[in-house]
Amino acid sequence: MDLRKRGFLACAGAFCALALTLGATAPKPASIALLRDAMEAPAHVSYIGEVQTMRIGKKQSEAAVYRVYHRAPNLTRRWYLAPQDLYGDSIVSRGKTTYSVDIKRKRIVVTKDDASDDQVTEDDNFGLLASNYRALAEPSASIAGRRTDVIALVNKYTGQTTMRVWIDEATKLLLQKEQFAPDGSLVTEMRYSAIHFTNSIPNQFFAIPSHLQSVKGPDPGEPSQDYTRIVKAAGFQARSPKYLPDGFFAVAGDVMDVHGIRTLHLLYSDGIRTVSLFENARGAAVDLSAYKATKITIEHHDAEYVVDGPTTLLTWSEQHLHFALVGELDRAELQRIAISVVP
Amino acid sequence: MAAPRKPFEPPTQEQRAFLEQAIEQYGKAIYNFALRLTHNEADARDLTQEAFIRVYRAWRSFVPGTSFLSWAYRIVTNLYRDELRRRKGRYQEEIPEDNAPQAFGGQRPLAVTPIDEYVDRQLSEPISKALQALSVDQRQVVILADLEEYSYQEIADIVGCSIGTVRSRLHRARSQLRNLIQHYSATST
Amino acid sequence: MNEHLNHDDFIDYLHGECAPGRDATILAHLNGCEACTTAYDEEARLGELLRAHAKRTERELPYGMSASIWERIEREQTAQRPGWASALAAFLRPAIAVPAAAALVVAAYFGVTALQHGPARPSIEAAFYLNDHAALTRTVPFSEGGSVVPSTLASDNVGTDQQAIALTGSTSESNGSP
Repeated sequence: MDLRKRGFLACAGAFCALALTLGATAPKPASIALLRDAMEAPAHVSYIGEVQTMRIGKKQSEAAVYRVYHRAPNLTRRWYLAPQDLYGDSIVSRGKTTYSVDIKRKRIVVTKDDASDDQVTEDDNFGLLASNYRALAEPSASIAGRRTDVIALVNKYTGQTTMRVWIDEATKLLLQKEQFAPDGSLVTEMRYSAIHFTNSIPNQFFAIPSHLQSVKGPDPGEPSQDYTRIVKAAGFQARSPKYLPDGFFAVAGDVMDVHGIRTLHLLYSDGIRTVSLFENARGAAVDLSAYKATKITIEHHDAEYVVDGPTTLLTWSEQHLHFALVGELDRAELQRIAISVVP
Repeated sequence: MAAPRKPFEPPTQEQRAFLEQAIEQYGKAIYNFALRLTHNEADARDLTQEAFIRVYRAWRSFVPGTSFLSWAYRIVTNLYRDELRRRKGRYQEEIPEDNAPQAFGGQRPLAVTPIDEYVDRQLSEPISKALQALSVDQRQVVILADLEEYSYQEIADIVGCSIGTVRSRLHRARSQLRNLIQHYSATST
Repeated sequence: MNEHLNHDDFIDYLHGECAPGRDATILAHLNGCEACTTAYDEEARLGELLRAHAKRTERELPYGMSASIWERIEREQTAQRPGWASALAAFLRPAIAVPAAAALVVAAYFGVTALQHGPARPSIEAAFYLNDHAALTRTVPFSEGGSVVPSTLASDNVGTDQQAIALTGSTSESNGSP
């Protein structure tokens, strides 16, 4: 055998060895169906558990611990153990209606949320997730004593891991979730520290105390995917962004009267990350008095932004139109979107 | 000297509407509560009628936003206690003839299989006897805790005792029920 | 916790009457103790039997009950009703006329005062935007919809001055950005 042939064979062999090594450690594509099962698991699985959840902002964070009682398909109670201000309070969800039981203020705030039942938008969002993110299987892990499948969701455009989920092998329930900022830092974490699957959860756990005063809470808008109708209902010449990050599409919107001011809300999503654009034509500015706002300029327009954990709100006005952008994107990205709204 | 007469207050539209709605919305629940307390059809009717008269008279003292049923159950409980003191005896137990149990056309009972349903039906008489064998105080607490699903605090408010008393009555009542149901099931086969 | 639990513990636990810490202890113990789990299931089953029995023996409100209640009320009211002379005297009492006139004057005064001030400049609290954004993001897979600390439990003001606008007609599939 001549030297060149031997050299070629040696290279080929080395290449094969290298490929095999890489193949053993590279994550395998995970089934999108498993993610779909995880989304739908609460409709079939009843359980009692304890959850720790955290949102991490640039400078400050918030955390909570609660017991959760869930009876499929749609009865849930969260009973708060921490922070101290929430200890003993609970939130009971019965379908679209939510009862926030506030022991200290001796009241129950009742809200109705049509979005919680909006299967069409949920399906659209899942479709976006499947097309914008690669789902990669990682080594399985144990969470709350349960064996889980671990999936990393990697943004196809940025190559960043945006979310990682731990899905119970037996029931497909989501037991842990981490979400990351574009720079890779952790922004939210949810984790079950204990879980017990059972169908025997008595009705008492979902009862609303009768000795507290019921108060109607703010009802979020009724979401719709019909943009023509939404913009028409707004009753003014609305603007939309010409720039959106890769993979983002408009998924839903609503129109609300807030203090008598007609406000249009459009939600854009890539399946995991979201950004909302609010507009009104009545000159109603955003009241930022409860936050520490920072002033900036966008295309010669005065603007302000506030940071609430991982969420940023950016607001500016132009003639009679007032805008607010809200989302978990970083400020630079929000500014790019804002600039594309301004003519 | 005769006692001074109370000034007459003609009934308002609001008062009439209040009672109409109360009967329509809560009549069945209040009647069944009275029936489970008394185990007697005629006594349950009287108790229910008297409770609604009291509701009508005291309608202004109901605080909107709070539970009407808790308020009404408190009235029924007080009336029943007064009646027991007055009679100083037990109600005669009757087998009701009219208003026989309707076929339950709504959601399925808790049993999810035909076998469970059969077993539950077989236990119906022992459960009925066991409940009747409890003291009135214990039966009240079991009805409010296990059937009406009130909290201990709410039961204490309805019945007019402490939470500790509710807790101990319920513990004793359920312990007795477990034994009695077993005993009546064994003796009926 | 090494010792076994008793039925009283299960009864309080089933009724949601344990303090959160005790609740967690019982849950943890049940996860690892078969004997206690069996006893717990017995207690849960008793509750189910009682409720099933109650459902089976439930009755409708007896026919004629409503009519008999109204009949009795009518009888009581007829017995109490005063004559026409006392009714007229009650109507003409000064105790009714004077407060009524005073109320009219006060209402007129405040009505005029309100007109002298212009309408306040409109603004919308930032919390509305954050909450509405969180609410719509519930449709996003694996989302928890916003803040770790729910605004309905964190704030004194629940902000009820907002109303959804009905979008008439049917919705249609979106084709992308508007």
